[in-house]
Amino acid sequence: MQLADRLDASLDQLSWELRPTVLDDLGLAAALPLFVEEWSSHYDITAEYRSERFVAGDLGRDEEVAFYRVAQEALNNVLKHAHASRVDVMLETRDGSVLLVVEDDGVGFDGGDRTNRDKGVGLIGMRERASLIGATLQIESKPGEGTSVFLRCAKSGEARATPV
Amino acid sequence: MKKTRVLLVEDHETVRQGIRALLETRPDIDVIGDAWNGRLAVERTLELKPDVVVLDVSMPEMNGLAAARAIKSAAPEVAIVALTRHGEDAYVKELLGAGASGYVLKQSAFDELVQAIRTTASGGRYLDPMLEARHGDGTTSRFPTTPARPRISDREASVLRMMALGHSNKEIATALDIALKTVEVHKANAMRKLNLRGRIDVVRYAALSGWLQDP
Repeated sequence: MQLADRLDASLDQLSWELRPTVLDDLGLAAALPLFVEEWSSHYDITAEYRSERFVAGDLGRDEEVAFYRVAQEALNNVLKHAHASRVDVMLETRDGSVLLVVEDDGVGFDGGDRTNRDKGVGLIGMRERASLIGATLQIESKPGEGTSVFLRCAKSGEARATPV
Repeated sequence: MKKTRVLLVEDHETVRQGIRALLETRPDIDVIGDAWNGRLAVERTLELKPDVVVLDVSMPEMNGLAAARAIKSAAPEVAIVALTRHGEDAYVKELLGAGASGYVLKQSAFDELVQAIRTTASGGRYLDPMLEARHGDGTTSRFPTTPARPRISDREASVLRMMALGHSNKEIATALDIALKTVEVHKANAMRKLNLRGRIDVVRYAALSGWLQDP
């Protein structure tokens, strides 16, 4: 019984990470803050979420999934590499585009440092997701000064960059 | 006695039949129809005009949230009770926002559903007691009230404003035509003076300063 309970709990967590019903059910506007909250309490890293101007319909379904995944990947990188004490996650629509920012106050890294191989894996994944939906991904970091990930995509109905 | 007419929407066959059988034991409730996805739920609501729709949330072919919105826009007089295993605030908030006036957890006692049907049929709202109990332990905002205004330079203010608008340091450097390093220094100094801990603090400060109004 105990083993079953533990299995159940692990499966719960897996499904929480991998198959977000909440994203299907409620959309990004509700799913992302929920994920950030759960991530924060699960890993005990202060995370704050802010979204004032993003509303359902600003992104299509595929874009919502990509934004969610990039946010997850960015938070995953914070967990693995940043040694951060706090993270800010913002999702806003402004001037015809939707912007996601995931910013931590951790150790950061040198953008040109080729030894950061495994960090690169996550970054490549995020770039791929971004380019598939015609969004741009920008990462800014310096040793000792945290890391900021910016994902920007034209709002639904606006002209979009051609995927490369 | 006028019975409350209920449409039952739930995609799992066994669960649906179980709920129906239990509801039919109550003399004041009449299950007049059922549906197993959101699209059917909307159709049958319009066709049968129930008093209350008991609505599952996670369903194929239009989920409960979309169905709730569609039902309230086509037949606002019909009450909706969301019935779900999800107790997270985000779910509650979205469903109530979509027009549900009842919210019951599947893990609660069956009588909760009966109470919710009765209450919403007569125009009331019903929130599962398991949620009521949890509400109120929400965390309070850490951010202090109106920030004191230590002096920051115009340049620092411009950098903070652009930061609040979601620009990266590189973009700010380009826009203000200054070196990247200069942006970083302005940003660090301004944040230190104003005691802002991260971008969201900067956004709050910008909002309180009236920098984020639409043109």
